Amino acid sequence: MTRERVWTARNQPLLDATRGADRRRSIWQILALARERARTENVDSRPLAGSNGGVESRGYVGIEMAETERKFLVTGKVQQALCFLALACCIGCLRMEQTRFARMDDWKAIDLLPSDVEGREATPPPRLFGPSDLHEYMNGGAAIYLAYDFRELAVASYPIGPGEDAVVIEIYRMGSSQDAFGIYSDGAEGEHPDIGQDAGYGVGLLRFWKGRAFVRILCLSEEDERRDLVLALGREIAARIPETGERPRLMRVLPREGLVADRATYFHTIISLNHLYFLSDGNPLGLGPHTDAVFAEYEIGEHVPKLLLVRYPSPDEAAAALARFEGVYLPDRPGRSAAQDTTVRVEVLEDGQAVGLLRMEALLIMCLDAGRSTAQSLPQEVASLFHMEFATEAKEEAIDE
Amino acid sequence: MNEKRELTRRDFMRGTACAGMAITLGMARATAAPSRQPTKSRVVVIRDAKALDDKGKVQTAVLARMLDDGLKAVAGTATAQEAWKRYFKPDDKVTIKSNVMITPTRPELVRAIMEGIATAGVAIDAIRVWDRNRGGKGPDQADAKTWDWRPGFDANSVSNAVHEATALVNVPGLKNHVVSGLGAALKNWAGAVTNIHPRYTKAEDLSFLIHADSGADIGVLNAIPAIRNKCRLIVVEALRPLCNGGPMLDPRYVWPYKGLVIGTDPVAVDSVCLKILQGRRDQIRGRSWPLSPPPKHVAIAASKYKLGTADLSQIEIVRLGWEENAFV
Repeated sequence: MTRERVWTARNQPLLDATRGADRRRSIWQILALARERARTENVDSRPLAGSNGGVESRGYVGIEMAETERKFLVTGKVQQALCFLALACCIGCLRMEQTRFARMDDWKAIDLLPSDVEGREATPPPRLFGPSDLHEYMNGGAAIYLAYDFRELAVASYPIGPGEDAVVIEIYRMGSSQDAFGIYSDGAEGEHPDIGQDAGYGVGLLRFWKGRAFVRILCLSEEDERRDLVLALGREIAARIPETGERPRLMRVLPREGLVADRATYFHTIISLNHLYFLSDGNPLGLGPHTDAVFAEYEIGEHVPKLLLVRYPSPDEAAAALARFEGVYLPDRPGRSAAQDTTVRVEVLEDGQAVGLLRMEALLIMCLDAGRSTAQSLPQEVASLFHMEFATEAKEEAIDE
Repeated sequence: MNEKRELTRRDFMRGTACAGMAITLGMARATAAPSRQPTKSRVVVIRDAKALDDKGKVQTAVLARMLDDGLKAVAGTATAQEAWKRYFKPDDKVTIKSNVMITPTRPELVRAIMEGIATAGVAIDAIRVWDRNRGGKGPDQADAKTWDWRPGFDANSVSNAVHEATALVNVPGLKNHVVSGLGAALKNWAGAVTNIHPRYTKAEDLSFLIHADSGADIGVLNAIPAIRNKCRLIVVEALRPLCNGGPMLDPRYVWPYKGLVIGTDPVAVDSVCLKILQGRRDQIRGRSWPLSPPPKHVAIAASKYKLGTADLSQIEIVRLGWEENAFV
């Protein structure tokens, strides 16, 4: 369903083009109507930055093409509004053809939002956030999403029931399916309904990923959990996502035995690692968008060892990171011997737990909080799995060539 | 000790070996420098099993009573009115720093605080509440949904709401925070400033670099003279705290603690809040599940900015009401 709304920075609806004759109007006519309405009502609005004011559209190419101009300010100064809207229209015209083609293989988060939940539309209207203003929605929490190449968020709250209960739907579009999986994998505990490519549900919150989409559906209800409603919405949204994607290959090199269910997280940056497992101030491992990493928890005997795997762009970078980390984390221990370059280095720390360190080409393998024998064996198992997984890939590439 | 040496998990381990509470000991060591508190900081944790009904709805009368009783204990007065009068004068322009982000402060608590302050002679309709660049005035605007005030920011990126007030009340919700480990009293002032997000701005161009290094320097906000000098009271809403994954709301980690944490020392209040969150996390996992990253900004607020006491042995924790799983 095509739907356009225009509203002010205070979320006061200025024009709802989803009803009656307005549904059949073109986007240009809707903008003209909004302009007229702003003039006659002398709308008192605020600067756009950080607000929700603007024009947004679902399923209409005319507005979606101007991605950076999706939010149009309607101010009390009619002249300014006219200029701004006219500029947006011009940009739209210029990019129309380009975007028409782009839409064939792309999708927007807002397209996936349902038009209503149990017959009631979102209140206030859906909001959109990009990398530069995500913090307006979640403040410092935005850093975690940005660490996964976040591209856009569409969020809407739908009232349900007679009171103030609501269903909040957040649809995130990430840069890759690996990143959508990654943000999902950070907190994937719960029951796992068959929705999207992986889903987790618990106490009114459904999280799932599919393709580049990561979706959170939260039912804030004073009634008993609205589980069925949340899961039905999840299925509806998942069906609308026009793609699937690959999980990160690095996940495949985790030994299965002893791996705690739902406690394996794929990530890139230090902010994610710090939130999963604090190792040190700074960033001695040199984590960043260029590194692929996995953190996983195990239960082996009385120990709860963790595996941290980091894949660097090159073996040299992995070697440098390992040397840096050892300098920061094990400054009181004798330096790595030449023999240890190809074997697991095991050190028992103050708490009686052992750490095992191994580099294999561009992969750094760290086993933490382990018994001595596990600190030795788990990295070796990873190395073996890594060799099988990525050697196969190398062979396939050679055959293709 | 080399000042530039990076703090590692092993440093916390050594703390664990001595006191069984790695994070707390880490802070205790960091607060070896004298704080501004000549005596023990008093922090009151007051709970009532009836503060929420079985649907999670706030029982306003119970909450108001908790607030009054808690404040009496903080101030050491016989009556609630005496306590409110200790912190506020009739001619004060009082502004409440609330929190409207994903896990917002309950408006029922904001309203109860306004009513309490009014007993000190402050006109209730003049008491303001705000977060970031939105706010309201009086009990009718205790709920952020009704806010229409835009205080704006000064040239130093500090909210005009801070400058226009003569007295501030800090009212955050208690939560874990993925960046800083803890979101409570110290972190709540992030909503009193602007230009703090580094996405497209060079670090040197930010007004306050508070999100780097796991939020280590969050104390800088509390050290802003106008905030430090005007903040008279801290009331942390711990009715349904969030112990993991915050600030994004994840109901799997929200639990009905049904409490308030009240004090005047932001570092001491946060130290107690930290203990509550840590207790719940350990309870969920059945073993130690440390807050991560460790909320070192609490210790640094004490050692670097002298904002209060982080050492639990120097904090007088007054526990009132419901005792089950209090974690303090």
